[in-house]
Amino acid sequence: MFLNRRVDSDEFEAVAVPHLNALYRTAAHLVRDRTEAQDLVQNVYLLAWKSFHRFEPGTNCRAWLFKILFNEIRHYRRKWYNKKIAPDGERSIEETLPYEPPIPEEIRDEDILTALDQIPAEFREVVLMADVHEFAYKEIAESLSIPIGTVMSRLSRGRKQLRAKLAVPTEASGPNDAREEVRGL
Amino acid sequence: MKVINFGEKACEKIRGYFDSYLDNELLVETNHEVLRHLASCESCTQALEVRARVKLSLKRAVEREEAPGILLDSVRRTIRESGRRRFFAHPFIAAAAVLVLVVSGILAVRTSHLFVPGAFSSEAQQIIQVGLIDHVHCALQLGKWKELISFDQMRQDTGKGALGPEFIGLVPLVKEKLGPDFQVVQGHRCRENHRDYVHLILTGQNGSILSLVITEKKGESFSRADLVAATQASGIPVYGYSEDRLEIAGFETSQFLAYVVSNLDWAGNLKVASTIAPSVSDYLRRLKG
Repeated sequence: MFLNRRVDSDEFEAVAVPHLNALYRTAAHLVRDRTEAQDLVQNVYLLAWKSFHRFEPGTNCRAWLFKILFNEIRHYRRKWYNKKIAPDGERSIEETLPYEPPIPEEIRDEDILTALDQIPAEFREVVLMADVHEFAYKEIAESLSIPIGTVMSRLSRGRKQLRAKLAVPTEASGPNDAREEVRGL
Repeated sequence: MKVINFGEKACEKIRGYFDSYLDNELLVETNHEVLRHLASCESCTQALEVRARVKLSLKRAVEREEAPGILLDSVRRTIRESGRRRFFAHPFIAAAAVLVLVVSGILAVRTSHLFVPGAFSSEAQQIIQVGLIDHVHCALQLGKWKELISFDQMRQDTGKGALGPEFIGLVPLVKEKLGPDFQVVQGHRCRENHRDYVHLILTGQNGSILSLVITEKKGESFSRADLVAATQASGIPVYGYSEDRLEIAGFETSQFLAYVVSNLDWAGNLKVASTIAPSVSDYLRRLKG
């Protein structure tokens, strides 16, 4: 019982606070409410600090903080919104479309952020983890407590939906003309 | 680029690897297979470019937003204030404190780390958890400490979560005992882990958040749980514990367990519990003996 490490707030600040922006951005895009995101992140740091004596120095602090964040977000959704998240088995209209119109050369920030907000939360969280924070699949799986296969499937479907939301259909490239060209995108 | 017609199946297979390829998650051989295909297939190269462009654009767009400065300040303040309160964080310090308190004439104190298996008997750990869980989940995690509800509102509330005529009297009683140093943010009934609670949430100076948590006994008792009272308040034993950043003090009647849980320091939390224990115990005894 005497093996717990003594910790101090300076040490915690040094390893945990640099990840505040990443946590906030993720929370903001997952709950889609900046005020709630701030509260969630504040709570993540409070919980992390409370259990910091159990954190092993040298291990991945960022992944540990994200795991706490996802637990908090799950709790938040369950308690306050009871949001229905499309389960894995459900396929969106975009995913079933064989034709994917081309993506504009210049993708504007507001367009891609709007598209991101429109994809289901369970895909959004995996896409954010992989594309923005560049976590390895194994780390994503551990943070979200899901198998790696599920990470890959959600990532693939999430990115596909994102591309579909961004796509600008043109008259020149109608569904029939382009089907062969973009099949499998 | 020399264009070779691979046929749909080859392209489909390679495009199935694109996500993992972009994330550098492919095995070396598969990675080579993708590279070989890309070297000769313009259509797949373009498709990959689109994916890479979307990925990069997303990262750039999301990272453009910074967390508000106030959040950073608030996190730092919370950590530092909480750090200063960690008087009993380490078991060695806790043990030293026990000695000091015993010498000072206080009956006995046992403090330790709540989540360390073996620090207390399992019965003692369970009874601590009963009070702690409601404070952590309801007051802290759900953020109810920020939701101010007036006494009139609490009195008029008739919903499932209302204190009701039975327990509404606790609000002025606690207010009177603790004086202006604490504000009763709200009182309600809640349920955690298949257990009903009467829960008063208070805030004090310097960011202190405090819960008075009351629940009907289900066969538990502080006195039977291998615990020693930290102090006596008008003859009522008050049991004190220290989780690494939360202090817990408990007292009981024949029907109820009552807890004061807060981020105050050990002495401060015990003082609050000792101040309200006689009146609250009396109130509860008049309800159900």
